[in-house]
Amino acid sequence: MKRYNRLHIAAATLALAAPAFAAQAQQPAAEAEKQMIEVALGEVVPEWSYTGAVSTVTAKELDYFQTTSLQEAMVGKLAGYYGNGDVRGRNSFNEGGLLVVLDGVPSPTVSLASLDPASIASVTILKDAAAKALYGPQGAQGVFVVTSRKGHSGKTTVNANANFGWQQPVKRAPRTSSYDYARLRNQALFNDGLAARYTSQELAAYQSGTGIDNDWQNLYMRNFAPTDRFNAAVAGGNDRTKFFVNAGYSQTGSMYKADFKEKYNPEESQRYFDLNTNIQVQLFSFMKMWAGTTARIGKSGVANSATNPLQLIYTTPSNVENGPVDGKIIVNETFPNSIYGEINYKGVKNVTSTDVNANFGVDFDLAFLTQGLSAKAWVGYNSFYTGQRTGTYDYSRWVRDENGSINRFGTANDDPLRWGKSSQMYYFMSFQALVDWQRTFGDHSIDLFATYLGEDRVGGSNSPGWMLPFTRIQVGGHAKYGYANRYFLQFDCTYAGSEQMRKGNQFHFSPTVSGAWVVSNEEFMADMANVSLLKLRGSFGGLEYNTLEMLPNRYLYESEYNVTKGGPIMDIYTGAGVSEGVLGNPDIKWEKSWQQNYGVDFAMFANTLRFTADYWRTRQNGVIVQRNDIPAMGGIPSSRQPYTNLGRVENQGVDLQLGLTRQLPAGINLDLNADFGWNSNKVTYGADLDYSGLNYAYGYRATGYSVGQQFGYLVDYSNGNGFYNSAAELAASGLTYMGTSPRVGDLRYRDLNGDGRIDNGDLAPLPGVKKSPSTHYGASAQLTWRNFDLYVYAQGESGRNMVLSGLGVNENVGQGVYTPAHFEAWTADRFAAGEAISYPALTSTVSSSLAANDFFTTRADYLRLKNVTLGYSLPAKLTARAGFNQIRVYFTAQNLACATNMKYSKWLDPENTSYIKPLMRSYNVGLNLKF
Amino acid sequence: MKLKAYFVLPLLAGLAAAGCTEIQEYPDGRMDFDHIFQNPKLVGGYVNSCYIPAVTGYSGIYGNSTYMASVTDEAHDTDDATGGPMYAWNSGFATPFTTPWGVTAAWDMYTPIRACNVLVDRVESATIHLPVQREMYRAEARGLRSWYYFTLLKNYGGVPLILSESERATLTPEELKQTPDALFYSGEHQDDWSGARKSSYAQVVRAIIRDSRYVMANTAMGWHSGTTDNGMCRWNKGMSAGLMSRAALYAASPLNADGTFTWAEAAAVCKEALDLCLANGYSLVKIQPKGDFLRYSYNPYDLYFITTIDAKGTSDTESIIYPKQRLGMWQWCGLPSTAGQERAGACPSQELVDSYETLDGEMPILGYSDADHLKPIINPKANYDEKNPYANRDPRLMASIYYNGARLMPLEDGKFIDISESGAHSVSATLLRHTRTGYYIRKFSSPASSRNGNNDGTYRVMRLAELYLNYAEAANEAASATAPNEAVDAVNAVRERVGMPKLPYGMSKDEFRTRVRNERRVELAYEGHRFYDVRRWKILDQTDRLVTGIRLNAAGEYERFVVSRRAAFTDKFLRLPIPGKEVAAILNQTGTNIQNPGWE
Repeated sequence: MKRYNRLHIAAATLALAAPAFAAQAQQPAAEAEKQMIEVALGEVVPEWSYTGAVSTVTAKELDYFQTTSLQEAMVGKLAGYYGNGDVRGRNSFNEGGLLVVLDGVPSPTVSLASLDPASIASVTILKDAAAKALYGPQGAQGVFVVTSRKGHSGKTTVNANANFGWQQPVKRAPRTSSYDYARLRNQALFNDGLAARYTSQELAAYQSGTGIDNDWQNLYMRNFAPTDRFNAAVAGGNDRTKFFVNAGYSQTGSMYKADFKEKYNPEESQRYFDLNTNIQVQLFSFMKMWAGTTARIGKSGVANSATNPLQLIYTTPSNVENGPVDGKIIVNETFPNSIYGEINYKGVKNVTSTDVNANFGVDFDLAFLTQGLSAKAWVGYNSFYTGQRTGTYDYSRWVRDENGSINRFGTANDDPLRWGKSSQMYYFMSFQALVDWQRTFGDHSIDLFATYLGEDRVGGSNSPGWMLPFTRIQVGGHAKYGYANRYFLQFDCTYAGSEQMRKGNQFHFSPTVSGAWVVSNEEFMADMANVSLLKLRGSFGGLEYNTLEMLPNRYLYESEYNVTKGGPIMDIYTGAGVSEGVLGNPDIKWEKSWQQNYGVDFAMFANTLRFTADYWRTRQNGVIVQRNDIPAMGGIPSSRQPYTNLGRVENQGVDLQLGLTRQLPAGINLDLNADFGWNSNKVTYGADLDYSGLNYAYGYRATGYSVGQQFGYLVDYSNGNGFYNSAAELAASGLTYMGTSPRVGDLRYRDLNGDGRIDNGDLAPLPGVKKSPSTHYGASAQLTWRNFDLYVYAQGESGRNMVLSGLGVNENVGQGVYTPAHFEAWTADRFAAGEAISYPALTSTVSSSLAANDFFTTRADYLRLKNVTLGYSLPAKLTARAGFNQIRVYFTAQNLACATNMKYSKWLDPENTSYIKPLMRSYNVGLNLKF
Repeated sequence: MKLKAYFVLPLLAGLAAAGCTEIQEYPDGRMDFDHIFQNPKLVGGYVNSCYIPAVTGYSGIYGNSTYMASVTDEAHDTDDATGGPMYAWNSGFATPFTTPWGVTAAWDMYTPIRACNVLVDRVESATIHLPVQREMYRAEARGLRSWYYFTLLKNYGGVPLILSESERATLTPEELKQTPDALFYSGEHQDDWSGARKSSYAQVVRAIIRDSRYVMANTAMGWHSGTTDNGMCRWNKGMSAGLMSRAALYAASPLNADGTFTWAEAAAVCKEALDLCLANGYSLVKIQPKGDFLRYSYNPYDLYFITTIDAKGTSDTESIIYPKQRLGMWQWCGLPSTAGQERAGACPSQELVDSYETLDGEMPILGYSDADHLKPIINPKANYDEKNPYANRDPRLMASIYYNGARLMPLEDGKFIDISESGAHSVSATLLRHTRTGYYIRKFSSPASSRNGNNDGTYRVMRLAELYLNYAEAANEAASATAPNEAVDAVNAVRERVGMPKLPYGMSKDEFRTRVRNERRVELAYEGHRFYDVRRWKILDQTDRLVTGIRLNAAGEYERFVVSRRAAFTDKFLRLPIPGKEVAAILNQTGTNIQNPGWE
């Protein structure tokens, strides 16, 4: 709690202090009007008259991140974009509605993580109906407009970057010694009424250090894995032709120590080759052509073990034999997979992937037909291919019996190496055209355009239905009227169709209206020269919202019957079978999202202080949900029930952005950006089963709660500590537990429905445990002083709690995995001695305390220092003599520190509670050359 | 200027035409439901798919442990070391929102029941290649449906009885009266289940018997599953006879009896089933081990379980249906001295061992004088020596159970089971690979199996011996005071195979009840019967409170000890909980809570 307060005070201070820096830096007010942003369909418009809600991050900040993933570099930088990938929270309990637009091409198969930040000039998210409307159902939740870097006329410039880094997991599991393990294991078995696993002699041996006590992390893990990245970008051109070329290479090494290299290399590795080119050619005075490609080739290697080595390292107790002895891999009957064996002797998976995006287009200036008329047409393409070569290998397992003899265990053999290959491919191709007419007549300005999009896409799945291409068509219209640079009214619409709906129900219309009032252009503002921009915006639209592709069935409008070979009786047509799948709903269609947005843009002091605030709300109808309230006794289980447009979700929130550019005394330049987002959603109807008839304290599991609300028991703390502290207390409770009965030392649950039993009827919504965090915030400061530059970026989230479970939390994983929390588990002795108790009585199997409950519910707010970069550029004279424009050396630390109020945060990370795929911290040194 | 226009406009028009204005669709070969029944192969495929849940359930292994033995007093599973599903059930952890033993909920059997009903409706007009196929499919649909209903029944008690739409017209008024609460349903998607209601146990059993007789009157189906291995697991008339016998026995048993289905009726059905099987080529297998088998098989009983003879019924005249896969006993329920063994699995309990008679035909242990089963009441008439407890016992003991001192053959020839602390087969409270009880299972386990080759037998889904015992039990219960001679004969037929002395005529009804129940326990051990038997006899609270084992004390003497105490013996455990979600869904539509007692 205390830490949480400090954290908020720090964030608030940062935000409040910022305006104080705003002194009167005078620049022409016209600057504000020059700010251009790229919005839908590659249109570049002046920001000051735009009616939609957007946020932008540019290369200037992205460049500080030493990562191959654009997504990683973007997190927290855009108001409304949450760390878990959500834009403005959740409008639906289905996934969907997020779209990446790469250089004007809607790219449904492209993920932000697959783009090299070094090739990106800016990313803008389109957030409200006015901004998103023209991208149709695919982009109804949010659109990422990604613009790659382009060439320029003039001297050719080269920007080269070499970076050497070392990374490690931000959190590691604490090691538990053999003695502690054995003692806690016995304690857990004792609690369960089971026999002790370790004798007092064994315990004594562990304690004195004469027993086995392996440090698996030390044995099989490196402290740091190397990660290096090299980039060279060349940009240039002349009046007619402009080009940009970027080539990159990155590699990440193994976190594990492997020592078997005779037949293959089992070490983990990941390499990327990136190549980006952009060319623009002014072919004729009225015609411009452009083409761009992004290609990424990935090569990776990983041990072919079915179990993640980290999982084994963290779950194998220190006191078991689990490795090679005289060339024999010794395992334990309960740990049949040796860590050493799985890292070295399971073979290897080598993956090569090719990800190519290409776009090609022409712009026509049709002013010769009528003034202000232009047209453009462009083609986009993405192709992803991945080939996996798998070398399968295996090893014999041996167990040591109690009398010391070694026996074979299980059927595994030292199999010879066998190679197999598999591949996967997906692609899309799209065609877009746009005809635009813009004119200004005195005080009146008009912008009209019409667009067309046709797209053909093949997904990566090989399953029936999904392997077939997806096709969609969309036409759109846009009309904007402006009066006296003060009043703007805009209308956008799409008429979009997809083959995922029944013929006759394929096309749906979405209209949007929006308007802006540029107050700062009013005469009464004329004497307020410091205000460079004051604009009020509003938009309202009814968007079609696509989630169809994210649901488990390809054609929800038709029932699925498939021919299989699964019949068990060979006599019947040699085992022919027919499977019955999900029943169709002929009327299934996109979800309908009614979105409102009200915003204000404000800038002062020649745009050096910028502030934007938006309030938005969304009402989504027709959210797709599979019926689960129909009895299965009819023979159609809920997994086969049709999908319907019955659900309803409401969502609302606020986005704030603040920017400040300032020259401080002593020659320090400051560039500060901060953003904040808040959202709150509610499922107003989930079409879910109502359990009230069974006397449930809470009848519904979805309706009336946030998307992804989780349920659990509430702990009864009325006795002080929430545990059954004695057999008498347990008996006196008078409660019967359905399922696992409580033992002394288990949690006391509250009987919410008062029926004397603890069962599902007593489950309550766990406060704040839901899908999307309520708030996110981020702030970056960029300081330059003489030849030094410093960049600090912190980002955080709050307002989403978690129910912790599994590895790192519960003691009953595998044969027991014990963390420091379990050292303070309830025991009669601890209770009698009045010692701190921070965990229910341990169990070796399962206990009533381990059900989801509010004891394991924790706040998971965090503020993470994402990036600290310190750079030094050599003096210009020296640099120039060497023929460079800039020579800069830098040090970057990523994910350096994190403040959080999460439980067990000493070993768990709030952003990623999984030990198995940990978030990485990295330290980098690099050299930047520009010439 | 004009030049430009000529150049640009056609280009634009061309580009516009390149994108089309209609969405292209790609046919994926989907078919509608009616199409299935217009294609002979698809009709066959539909029939075949109706088999999947049944055949999957035949395998007899749940989570690497022998079929349900460990959730009865037959055995204790070593899965307590990992908090496994058997441990969870015995600890009473079950709820309406979990599935016991990690298996598919029996309630899911309504899915294949619907498919069978659809088949019953559609098979008459479906496009089928040969008339004999149509005839066969008719019988298969009914046979499988009755099997699925029995799966529901034995777990949940009375359940909603849903029959096919077309059947309503074909049933006689008499038949309709037998199943007054039946619902008729076409199998189409239906939201409204407000008319849902449970049928009583007896009603569902009558429907099962009706279906069984329908199958047995069928002209296309045989008494065995086809003439080749390709017909394995295919429904046959023997299955319908066996199922009918089992269903009748269960319906008349104390747990399920509501007075509408009497023991006399059950006895008649059991007799009908047994006689039909005997008249149609079924008999007990009495093949003596010979040749290589002499090295590791003692008698016809154990040879029968470690061999898979054939599906055709030419030499294996006893098995009515058994699955294709061999059990992997050596690996999952094996001896720690066997190369590659991973678990001791379901370790036989002392209670099971105690139930084997002595060779003179007496029950050596008549019960226990203490609640913890540590003080057996020894029958003075039996030739039983507490110091040498495995001598002079029913040959089925050495065939079914590895006890201390039992000989290991042939892979570890010359060695013996040694459960002493230093022995290779020692008792452990925590290790997965060592027995909890002092015993290992031998039934189904071929001593010639190891990681180098699996020679284990297969689980028997239905076999003739059960029909004898079903009849013996029902006939005795139907009698007034003295066990009928036919009942005694039926038990003796089973005893005769292993050379056990015949039970005498003239036993009292109660005395014979004890003997026939014990015979059932011994003969059908580890075959998935005990779980349901102790429930229908309503003796769960006597049998399932704890299991004991045996170990050697410091002096080398046998010593009984409590292996584990159990929680799943109270009355609510007589039935499985109906899935809670289903209970809520039906409650919302009908206003009736169909949950079983104790699970509400």
